[in-house]
Amino acid sequence: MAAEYAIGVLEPADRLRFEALMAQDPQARAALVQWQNRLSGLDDAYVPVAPPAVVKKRLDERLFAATSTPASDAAGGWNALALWRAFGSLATVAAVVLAIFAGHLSGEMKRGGDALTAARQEADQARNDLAAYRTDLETYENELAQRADRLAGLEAELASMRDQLGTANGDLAGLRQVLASREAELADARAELTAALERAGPVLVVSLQSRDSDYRFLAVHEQGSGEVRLTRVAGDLAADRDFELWLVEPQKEAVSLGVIPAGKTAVALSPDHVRVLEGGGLLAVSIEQKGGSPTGVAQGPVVAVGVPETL
Amino acid sequence: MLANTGLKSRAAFDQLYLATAPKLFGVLIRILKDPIRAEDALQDVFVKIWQKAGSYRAGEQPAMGWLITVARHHAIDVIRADRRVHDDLDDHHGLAAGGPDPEQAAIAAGERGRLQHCLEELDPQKAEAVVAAYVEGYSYQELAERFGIPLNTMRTWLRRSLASLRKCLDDG
Repeated sequence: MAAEYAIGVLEPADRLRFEALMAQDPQARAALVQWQNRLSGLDDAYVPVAPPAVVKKRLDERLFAATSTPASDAAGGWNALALWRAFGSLATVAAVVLAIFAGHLSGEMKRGGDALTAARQEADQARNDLAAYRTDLETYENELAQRADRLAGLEAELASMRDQLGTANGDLAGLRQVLASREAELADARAELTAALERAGPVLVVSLQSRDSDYRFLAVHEQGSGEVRLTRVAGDLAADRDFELWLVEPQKEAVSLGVIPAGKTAVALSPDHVRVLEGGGLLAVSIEQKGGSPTGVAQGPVVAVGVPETL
Repeated sequence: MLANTGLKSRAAFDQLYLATAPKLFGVLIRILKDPIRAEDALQDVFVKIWQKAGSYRAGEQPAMGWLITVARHHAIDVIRADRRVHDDLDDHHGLAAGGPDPEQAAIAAGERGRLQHCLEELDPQKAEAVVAAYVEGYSYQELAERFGIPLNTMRTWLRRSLASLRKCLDDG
């Protein structure tokens, strides 16, 4: 009867009888299942046909009305896991993928956490380094400031030295000019002497000087001429003073030959003066007030004296 | 808990429907010979599956076999309740003519070698009667009419054929 039930040929009354039997007798049920398995090969004869979508829609409305828990849920539901599993491959795959993904995620999170810890340690190290660098930097900056101060001092000193050097250079230039001027005058005197020597007549030369002063003059007189040419060789004169030339006859008072300008000058001589000079009279130079001694007698110091010599 | 279970079951149920509805719809069309009736029957079958799912035991039977059984029995219930007499019997007389019919070709293709082998051990007409009873859901009355033999003879044929089949399958 199990075979007939399985194959489906029983009349309704017989079907009900067999079902009643199965409810009481597990062996009847087992026999049926055996037959169902034996004949299941014939199931291949059924060609699948896609049902219209509306079937599923209506089915959902019947089973899963939104407002109420399906009355049948207790019978199906959780207890039907075995059946759901048999066709739940997609769900299973999704669950496995989810599990794997969760595993990956947790691994990623752990790695992320490790990386974060490492990064924090690095950051701490970097902060310490930075503090040390700051301290070094402050030290360097202080040193630098001190050096800058010293440098400023040295620069000021240098500027001062440059000023002094400028002043010294100026002085030196002045001295050089004076020296050049003196050298020119000396050259003139030599030329004068040479010219006199070349002339026919004998020449009287007077070298005026003094142990007490630096003043030196050279006087030249050609015998028979009415003049004496005087050249200052050394010694400066204050601006408010003049040199005055004097002719000194032995045993007599000195006679002024006049104020003599700086540098070379020719002084005219009277016949008496010529006679005195050629007779061995001295020449002297004194420093007087501007314009010479007002009294006709030397008032200032005599700075150079000389005796004529015949060349 | 119940609501949660319901949700889980529903997702699983949707998947089950997606995977099995075409095959079961094929079963219903084949037995009911009427697509419109088969649509209604498919709804009823899945309601039954939903209600009876808890009674399915994975160790006993492949799930697909169990589902097809539910569908076949429902379809047979429908046509029996209908007391419907096939008006297309003539279309199926060709079954008696020899040569590989669609069912047997399908069985071969399905690599159900043992069942195929044991069916071949039977008298061809008797094998055809077994296959027609199973696949088409014919009653003894219908089978007797189709094969042109008395009802009781048909009963005897089929019972003996099933016994032979069982012996062949279990010994093999």
